[in-house]
Amino acid sequence: MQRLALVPALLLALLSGAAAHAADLSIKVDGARGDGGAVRVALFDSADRFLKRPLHGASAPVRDGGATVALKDLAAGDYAVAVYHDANDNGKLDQNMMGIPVEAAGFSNDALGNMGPPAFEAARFALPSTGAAIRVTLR
Amino acid sequence: MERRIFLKTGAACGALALAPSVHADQATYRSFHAALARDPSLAVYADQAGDQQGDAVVKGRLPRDLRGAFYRNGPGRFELGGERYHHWFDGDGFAQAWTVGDGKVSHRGRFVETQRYRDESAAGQFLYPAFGTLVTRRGVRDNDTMNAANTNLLPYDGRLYALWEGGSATELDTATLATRGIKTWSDELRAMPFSAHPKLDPQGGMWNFGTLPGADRLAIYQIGARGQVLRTAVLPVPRLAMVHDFVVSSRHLIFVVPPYDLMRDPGLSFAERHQWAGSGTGARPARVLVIAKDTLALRQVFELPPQMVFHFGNAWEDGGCTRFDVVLHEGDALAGVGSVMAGRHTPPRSSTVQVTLDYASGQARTHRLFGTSEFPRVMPQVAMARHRRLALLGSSGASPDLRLDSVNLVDTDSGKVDGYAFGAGWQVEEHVLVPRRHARSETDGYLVGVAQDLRAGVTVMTVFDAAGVKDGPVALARLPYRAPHCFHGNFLTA
Repeated sequence: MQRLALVPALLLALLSGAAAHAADLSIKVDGARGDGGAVRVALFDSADRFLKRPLHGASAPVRDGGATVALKDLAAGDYAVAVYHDANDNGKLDQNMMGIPVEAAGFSNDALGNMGPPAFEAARFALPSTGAAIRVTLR
Repeated sequence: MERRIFLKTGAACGALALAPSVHADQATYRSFHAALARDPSLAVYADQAGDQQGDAVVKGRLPRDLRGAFYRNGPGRFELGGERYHHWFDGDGFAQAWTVGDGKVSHRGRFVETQRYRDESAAGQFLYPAFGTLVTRRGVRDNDTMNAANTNLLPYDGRLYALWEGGSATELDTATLATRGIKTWSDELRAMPFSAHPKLDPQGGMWNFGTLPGADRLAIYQIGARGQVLRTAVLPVPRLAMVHDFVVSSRHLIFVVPPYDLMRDPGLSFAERHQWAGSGTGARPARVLVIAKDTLALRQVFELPPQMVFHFGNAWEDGGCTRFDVVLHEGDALAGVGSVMAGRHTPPRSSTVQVTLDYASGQARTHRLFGTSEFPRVMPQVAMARHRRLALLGSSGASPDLRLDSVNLVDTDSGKVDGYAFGAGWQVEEHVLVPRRHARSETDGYLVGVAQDLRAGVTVMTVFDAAGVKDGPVALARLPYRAPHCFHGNFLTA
């Protein structure tokens, strides 16, 4: 009995320990128009820094119209993710002559703006201490 | 992440940012249906549901050498979920094809299945902003999310395109009118505005342009005969308001920018944000921008009295001058055109003039060709060169509210008019000039269009001999139903 009772307590302790230092975020990106190039992901932790100063960034090659990117050792909290498909691998989100992105882009919650990126609030999601897996659709 | 890009995008599109509000359209819906009950002729602006297909009954003699497909486009869906759009330009594109040959005429009409049409059909309500109705129920990635594909239908290089000025062309099947999808001329031109009035060069290829509200940039495209992008340019134009059409000569691309201030109020639709700046103290003129075809650079700017412009005829070089035809509208015609959605006709205050741009003096002179009128067209073989005939719809005065009820071929040299008035009980739509094979003059062909028989509530395709419009239509092809009113179209000779 005693040993059985200990197990949940141990588990709880381990999990909470992990949460304080190492929540992992898996971002599954799909909806790319064709393969090739890479998805580039940026993670933001506040409205002030949204689309200005990312906390972390990562890339992964596109296969079968998508990719999965993992960001490790994050603090639990609220975040927003912005993603684009760098189809020609030139390291930037290409725009047309009117300033509209011609490469596909997406945001957490599949948030949409109005002829521009959405607000941080619309893309905000909670990363619990146990980590999370989210999906982002490129548009 | 690409902070800079997202910032730039945000700035460029900042003027388009919309507040999370929806303008109630139920009032427009009620107003229109009350007006329709009093005046059945308003059915021309009624909502269309579903596709159409039928054979016309031909009266008169259909010319044996008039064979092909008459492709037309206009807004068809104005109502959804008990709401009605505020402006005529808002409705979803309803593509139509009249097939003409062997003494027979058949008709087919089908909605262009844009993203907007599909998403809003699934939701059972309007979701996205329309030109004159602010709807913000769902976010918008870019201008093509709102693409209504409702303004023109262009056969080009064996393909067919439904056009809308704020976004990409939408490719349709030439036979079934089924939607194939967004046309991207090149990766760089993805989601670029591609106006509904490209100009076909008789030597091959076409010119077109695009603008976006608030961007103050005018994009120019030269497309080759096989659809390849030959040249593009983007010119900064301060205070650039709605530019619907342009005109092309052998050497120049000519635009008229009407005097509107573009309000930044995110609670207004694009149409409502156009504040007329052509009257009162501080009235601004209309600006004529002349761009050289060889350099794609701005050559000269002229001024015209403050008037609104939708459509042009043709332009040609005459020594040190360029001459072109244009329909000028008094005052804020943009708002006026929209009022039919609520069941109110705003009588047009327009006239068609020939403008002469004198480069040496910097003066733009106008010479009146016709009174109340719209929808100018010329024979395709004289495009960008000297022309002498201009097809125009006119108002005979017999119809209430100066409805367009006459078809005219104007001699642009003498001012003589060869015209036919359908008169009261009719409303005419754009007529196009179709040359006979190896046509030897601008009257060697047909003037083909559509007229709405308001009393019978049916739609009729009309055929005139371009050499004798006043003699009346040589053939009328009457449908057993009413087809939605179109804006523009083109005849593809078989």
